[in-house]
Amino acid sequence: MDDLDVVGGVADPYGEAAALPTSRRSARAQAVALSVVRSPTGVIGLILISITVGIAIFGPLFAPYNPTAVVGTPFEPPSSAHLLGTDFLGRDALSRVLAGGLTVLVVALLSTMLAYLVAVPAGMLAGLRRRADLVVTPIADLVLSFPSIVFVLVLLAATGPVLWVVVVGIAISHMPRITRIVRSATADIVALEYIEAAVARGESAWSIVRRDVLPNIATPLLTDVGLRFTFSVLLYSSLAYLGLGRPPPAADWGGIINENQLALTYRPLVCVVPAILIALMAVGGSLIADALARTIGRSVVGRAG
Amino acid sequence: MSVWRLIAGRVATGVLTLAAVAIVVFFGMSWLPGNAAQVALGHTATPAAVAALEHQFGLDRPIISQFFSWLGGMLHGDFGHSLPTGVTVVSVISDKLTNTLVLTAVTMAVLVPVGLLLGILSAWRQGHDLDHIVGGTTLSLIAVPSFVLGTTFIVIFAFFLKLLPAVSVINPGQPITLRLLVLPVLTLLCATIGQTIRMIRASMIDVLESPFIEMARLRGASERRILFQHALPNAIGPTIAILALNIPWLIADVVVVEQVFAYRGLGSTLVGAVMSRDIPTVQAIAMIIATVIVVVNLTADVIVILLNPRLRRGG
Repeated sequence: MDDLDVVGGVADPYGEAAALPTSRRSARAQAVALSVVRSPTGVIGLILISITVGIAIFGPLFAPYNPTAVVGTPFEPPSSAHLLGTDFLGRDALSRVLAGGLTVLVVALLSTMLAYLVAVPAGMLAGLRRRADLVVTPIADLVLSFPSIVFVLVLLAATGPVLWVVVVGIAISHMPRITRIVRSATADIVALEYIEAAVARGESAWSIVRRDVLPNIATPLLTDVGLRFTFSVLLYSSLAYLGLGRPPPAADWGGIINENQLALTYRPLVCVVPAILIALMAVGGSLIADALARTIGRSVVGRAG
Repeated sequence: MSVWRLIAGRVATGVLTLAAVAIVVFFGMSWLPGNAAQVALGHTATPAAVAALEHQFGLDRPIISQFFSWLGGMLHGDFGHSLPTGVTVVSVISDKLTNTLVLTAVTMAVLVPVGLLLGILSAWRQGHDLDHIVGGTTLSLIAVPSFVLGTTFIVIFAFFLKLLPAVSVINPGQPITLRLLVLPVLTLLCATIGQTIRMIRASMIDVLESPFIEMARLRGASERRILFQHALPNAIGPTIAILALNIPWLIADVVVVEQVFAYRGLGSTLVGAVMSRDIPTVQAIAMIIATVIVVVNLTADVIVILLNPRLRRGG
């Protein structure tokens, strides 16, 4: 089950980075970031992400109507007053699309951050201490063997549809992969001679982690962030589509498609626009992830979660 | 002898995994906030009615004894009672299980040959135009969520072309027609094929870059011969492992796609049960999904072990 996300031929792809002195290491992290701008797919990804994230953040400011106010009859065709028509309750579809991206963005960012906050220390602990590894790895493997969306669904069945449970559930489904990357990178670094020397000098575990481990796992983590974010967007909008996202009447891209699906065969525009925005955001994220992964001689092979 | 020990090890791991999932699914859902009987009866239910329902379904017994009777029941094919309605979970899910199996089997029957063909072709033409086209398409397909694909296909085939129905509702006792299956299968195929192609391509490239292929090339074997006689047999093991790894993804997409097309299967039943907080049904479907994943992975492991001559001879 190793390395579903990225495949490389080498057992220790980070060894090279680990052996570099600090100044060259930060240069390498910069090179990774720069390479996204240099590769054509990375540039397309950045453009897509800028457009969709821009709409998500600034869209609510440009909404012509209150996104939760009924301003017409249900499923009006597009007109000059309602550029995308109205939705199943007679609310302005354009206003709801403009207002509906922020939840996707915030949930995706929060759950990705929460995942790193828990999984990075857990992975480092597993890489440093054998006893911790015996606890962390089996739990990670267990979570990994279950489809993420089913995992979050089971969680929501127990608690009811609560947004913070969705955030925590998405975060948990990220954790095994992050833990795995951090664990193997940490274990590789700790095995190096200069770390053994630092231990022999009597340096504390914390200072070794801060000075040597953290800077060295930055590159493998950085190449993975795009994939995690994309996966959060996918998972959250799928849950919102199933009707388990932010509760109505709030607007939410996945939820808008769910609400208006019955008109798909006669007023498709209400659903098509948020569907395109979700797709562009996710494709943009995965193009950036692929450009990042290529910088360390790997390519995104599988799906992110 | 050691092959059987290896297989026995995998079986033991599988059983342990299922036991762990059972514990998490049962105790996780019992300890998390939310009283199942209260939820089933609604907020207006009197405490006496709630207590009566709890007693009827054995929810007032100690949790450990509930767990073992739940586990024992499952082993005998008894998944308990659906909470809001009180009918047995088995009667709720049995015909839906068949529907889901049909959907999944048809999808796999198309996915495997197409995925193999495109994966091998793009590995063979690595770095050429075909590889770039397949690579870009699959990367985008992986990123697009299945409900977006599904709604897009509905718009194209039901709104613009008016060729196929927008929903695939199957009434109980009615046979599943091909017409109803086309769009759900197409959506599932597009949602899962990107990952399959890219993984098969990666494992095929590993094989094509190995020394024995180089040797065959130096001996003057034709490219066709190298591909089909040398590389392909060696890619079978990794391919089976890849297909098994993709099963959780396929299941995740089945859940969403069934909902998109209102297809009466396990996935849409799971979503409905989550909405109505029908915990016994959710637990049953979660355990069925876990069992499928464990059994598929186990089967794939055993096939890979038996296919590997070094392991087979007990090396």
